Formats: sequence, structure tokens, C-alpha cells
Amino acid sequence: MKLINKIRSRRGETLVEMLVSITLLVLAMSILAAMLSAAYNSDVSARKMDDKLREELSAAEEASSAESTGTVSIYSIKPDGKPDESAPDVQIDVDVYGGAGALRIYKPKSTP
Amino acid sequence: MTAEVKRKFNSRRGASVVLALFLLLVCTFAGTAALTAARANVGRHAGARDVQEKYLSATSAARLMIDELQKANGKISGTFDPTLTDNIEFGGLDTNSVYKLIADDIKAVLHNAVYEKVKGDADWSGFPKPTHTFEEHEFELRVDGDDSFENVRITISVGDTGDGNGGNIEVTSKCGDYVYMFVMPYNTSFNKDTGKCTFSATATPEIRPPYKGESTS
Repeated sequence: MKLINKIRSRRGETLVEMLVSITLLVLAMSILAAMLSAAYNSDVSARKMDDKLREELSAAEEASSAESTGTVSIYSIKPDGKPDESAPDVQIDVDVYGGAGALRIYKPKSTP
Repeated sequence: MTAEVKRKFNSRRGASVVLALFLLLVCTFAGTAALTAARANVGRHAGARDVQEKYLSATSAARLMIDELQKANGKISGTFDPTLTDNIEFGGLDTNSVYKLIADDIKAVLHNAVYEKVKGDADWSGFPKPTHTFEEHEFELRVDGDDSFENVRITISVGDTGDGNGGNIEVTSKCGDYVYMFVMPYNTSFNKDTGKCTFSATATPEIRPPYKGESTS
């Protein structure tokens, strides 16, 4: 009822009131725009991150030639649940697929 | 004081400022919600890399172990005779091999297989009943000098079907919260005339549950 009266009222707002209101509206819109823009940028960066991850994953899994070689050491687990660090039980040479800094896998060394 | 508050409530002045403030509040809430959702999305994608690293470490380790276990194919055999006590001879056991680590279980598998095949045969009546208990073997795999691969815990358990024809070797690979499991079937064959029992693992390993590709990180 008060709102209807206000709308029907012929009395206007004071200049200061209008200026404050407009300032607040501009501020509100600016905040919203900035936040939506930041959200959009985050979404774009997440998509890029996801695409890069998938590319690295498929590159590692489908790689046909090894980037480097390595050795896998196998340690028995003692009854206390910790590995027996004295010496590895078995050591196996492996080929490592995938570039440095990217996702990588290893496979048994291929025999020439 | 109460009268002053009442007057303020009933006042018709300043409505546009109140509305503008309300709109500011709404915009701030909407913006914060959108930004929080976007940030959570980025965080989830950043965590996905960690999950994939664990997945690749776990699968690489499991496949390596399976590949190594398959090298036991045809290399392990025992020659048995009806008076066997504990002098089983095994040939081709590579000292730097994964199957060496479960040699006792494989010997027991052969022993079980022979026992099942000769059961009820008068000539083999003195053949001892196997007493071996199969237990899980746990190992840790490390790629030397390479921190990009996480250490992986591997559990190998050997089991036989009880009919003397073979069984399964289960290889469970665990990296963080990532668990990956391969099941490798094997067969045993026994020639009663020669007394030779051979272990073979020619079938393609299968991926079986438990399989969990999640991370709490």
C-alpha cells in the first residue's frame, strides 16, 4: 500500500537521493559485471586446463616411442607395513613415455 | 526511541536509496555465487591432474607386474614322483624376476595340481597332501630418480580353482586412493608318465573390480 502511494505520489525525490541511488546502482552493476567477467575467465581457464590434461593423457597412452628410460625398484613390505629399504628385491628397466612436465607412463623395456 | 524508529519505518522518504541498496545486495550475492561456482570448477580441474597422475602410476605399475608375471609362462615346472617329500626341482627361475617373489605360491600351485590329478591312483598313494597356505604378497614400486611417478603399492595373491587345472593371480595396484586390479588366469598341465607339471600364463589379463578412479585430494 505504501509502495502504491509512493508510486502515485506527485512528490519527487531530492537530487541528493537520486544521485546516491544512481551511484549505488552503478556500483551494483559494476560489481556484478566484474564478478561475472571473473567467473567467465575462470571457466575459460578451467576448459583450457582440461583440454591440456586430455591431450597429455592421450599423448602418454598412445605414445609409440619412449622419451626416456628408467628403472623400477620393487621392495617387499615388512610386517610393520613399511617397505624393506635395505635393498630392492627386483629391479626392472622400463621405457618412459610422455614429455618432461607432462603426464607420463612407463612400460617394460622393449627388446630391440 | 521507539517513536523515532516508528517514524523512520513510516517515512516515505529515501525509498529509492533503499531500493538501490537492495539491488546492490542482490547483485553482490549473484556475483559471489557465480564467482564461487567458477572457482570451484577450476579447483576440480586442478585436482583432476593429480588423479590422472595417480591413475597412470597405478596402471603402469599393474601392467608392469602382469607383464613380468607372464614371463613365468613355461619357465616354471616341477618334476614329481610318487615318493615326493620336499625335493621339488624347478627350472628357469630367473633371480631378478617378479615371479621369483611368489615362487613358493607357484610351487604350491604345482603341488596342488599334481595332488588333484593323482588322487585315488594306487601308484601315487604315498604322494603328500599339500599344506601350503596362500597369502597376499605386498610390494612397493618406485621409479628410481623420477619424482613425477608416485610410489605404488602392489598386492599379489595367487589362488587356484582346486581342480588341479589352474587358477588366477590377482594383482592389485594402489596409488593414493586409486585402486586398479588385474586378474591373470593361469593353467597347469601334468604328465603322469614323466611326472612333469608345468605352469603357463598365456591368457590375457582382465581388469576387474575393485576399480576406483577417485581422489580425496
